[in-house]
Amino acid sequence: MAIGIFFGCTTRSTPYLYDNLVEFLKRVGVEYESYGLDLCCGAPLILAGKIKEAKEQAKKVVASIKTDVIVTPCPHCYFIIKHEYPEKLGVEVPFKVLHITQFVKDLLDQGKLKLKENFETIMTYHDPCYIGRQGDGIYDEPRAVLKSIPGVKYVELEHTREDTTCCGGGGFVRAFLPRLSAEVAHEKIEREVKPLGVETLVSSCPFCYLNLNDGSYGTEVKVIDLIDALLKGME
Amino acid sequence: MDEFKIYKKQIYKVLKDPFTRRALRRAVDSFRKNRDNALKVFPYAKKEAEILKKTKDEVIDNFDHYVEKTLKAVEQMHAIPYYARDASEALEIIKKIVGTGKTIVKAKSITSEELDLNQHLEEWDNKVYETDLGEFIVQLLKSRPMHILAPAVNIPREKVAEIFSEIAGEELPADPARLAGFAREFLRDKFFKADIGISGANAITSDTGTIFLIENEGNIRLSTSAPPVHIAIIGIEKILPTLKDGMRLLEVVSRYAGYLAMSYVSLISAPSKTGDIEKVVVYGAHGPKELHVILMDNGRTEAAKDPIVKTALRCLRCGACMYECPVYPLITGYWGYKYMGGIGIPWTAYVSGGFEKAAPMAFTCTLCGRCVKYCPMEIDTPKITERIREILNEKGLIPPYIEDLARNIEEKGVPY
Ligand code: SF4
Ligand code: SF4
Repeated sequence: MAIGIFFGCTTRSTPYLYDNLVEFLKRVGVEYESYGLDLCCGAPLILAGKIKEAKEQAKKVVASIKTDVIVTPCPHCYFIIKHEYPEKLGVEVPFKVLHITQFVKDLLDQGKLKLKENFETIMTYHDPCYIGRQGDGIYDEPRAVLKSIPGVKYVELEHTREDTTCCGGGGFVRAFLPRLSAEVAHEKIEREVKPLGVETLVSSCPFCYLNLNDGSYGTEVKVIDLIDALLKGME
Repeated sequence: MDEFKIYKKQIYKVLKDPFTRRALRRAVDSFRKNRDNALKVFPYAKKEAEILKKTKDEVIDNFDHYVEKTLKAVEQMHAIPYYARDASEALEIIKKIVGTGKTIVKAKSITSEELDLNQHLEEWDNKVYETDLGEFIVQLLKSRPMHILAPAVNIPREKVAEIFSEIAGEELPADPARLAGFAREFLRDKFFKADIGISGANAITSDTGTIFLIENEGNIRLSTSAPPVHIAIIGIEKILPTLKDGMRLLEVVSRYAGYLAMSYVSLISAPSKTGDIEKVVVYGAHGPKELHVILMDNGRTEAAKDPIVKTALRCLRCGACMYECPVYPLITGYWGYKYMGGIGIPWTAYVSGGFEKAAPMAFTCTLCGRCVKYCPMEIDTPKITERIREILNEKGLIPPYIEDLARNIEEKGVPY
């Protein structure tokens, strides 16, 4: 049975994220249908208060999905499709929705991730709101896979999991006040990440990635996506 | 849409202010330490907060009943009750009581900010002194408060020394203790010379009409007891059914604001009186002769009609959400009008400022949900913000760039 990958607009339009994900899926030998390349999940409509329009979009998205499962690298797509479609917009979702971190954890458990290469780094993970506090509390899966990468020295931030501090990129603030968003990220990195001697800050959300990356200016902290971290550890 | 541009410019300006950044980092750290300690010492505060939340909801769902009951209780105590539907009615009432040519001492009150009260009092030819140290500084700077509990949180001590030196007519050192000492000296006789004291309230109870005023400086106590007339301006969401509920609020507010206890709590139910001479009751023994209690709606009933927005009326103004918000410490009260931060969004939309002012504020919240976890009233600010955005959309008040993204989705299926 093929699965569907719901890429989402931000992953699609960020070559670093998109190329890595495609490469990763190829290396683990997953067959998949591609979704969400020319059809947005509708999150921006909800964020702009356009509930009617979001509902129309949701119907289109649901109609476009032909697989029983979709996996998305975007916590926003994940949360909106899985929870907001039925609960807020009244649109039934007749397929299973997974976030990429859940999917890779399954691959890890099935022994399909060949993590053999050394990725020597002091690493921490930033919990995105929409798979964490605001969503389903997907905290353990990303940590489990990151800790499985040889050479990684994993450290935990002071404020994590349901207490995570925001990357600053959500809620359309990044669209309205991009410099404010970047400063929220910068503040997090300066105050929480840097003092722990972290070299690599990993996120599993395209918005967190972009925003933390903007906010890492003037520091030695390198922000990477979880899929990139896995690729660095795979043979 | 100029509002958005002006707002953005202000936000970007304060972002670059190194003092704000430094001061707020310090404030956040010490707040967290104090709050954690207070909740550790009094672990039952959480349970108390849950009960209080239910009580608040009961009042919010039955405003009419509780307003009537409270006004009656106030009257029974020989205080003078008023009900003001909106800010202009409240101003009219106050104008009649105050008149002109008076000296007024004011205790910190955001509710009075809703009326731009100081400005009006001065227009009517009265002299007004803010007596809370932070508010006093803000008043001298002709600025506006930048935090609900610490209004001058963004002003460095050197700046305070500069303005205080000006009124002192001598060079004052930038030493917080010396500066507070100067304010104390300067304001001391104002309390006793003032004709009128004006305050807000943390709560008013509908059983005995008792006003709760919680503070650390002692200025509220002086402002409300030294002058012969006391006016209290109170939003109707501050009503609690009983005195016991007031005590619960006292505990909850203190602990969540990071205090084991606040220095002073004033409970005021009636004007001062004595019957010590031949059992003849005389009003105005040592305290005020007159107590005027103004209950003000000003959009609260309207807010209470929306099942999501109404939860914002539970707010105790403990300030916890602001210190735990990733955004607020970077921009302080510039994210706001009279009410600020994420919780300030519904308050601005419904109570003070209107939807135009609330629009850019609503797009300054990242909807991260961190505040919800720390709010004693479990107010879901991101959920309220999403609801406000829906209304903003109906009113055509979405920032233009975001409108473009939304239109792209409708036309091309994707935003970019
Ligand atoms: S949801 Fe909004 S108000 Fe609450 S902490 Fe996050 S940014 Fe601040
Ligand atoms: S919203 Fe909650 S945390 Fe914030 S000031 Fe009000 S009661 Fe306190």
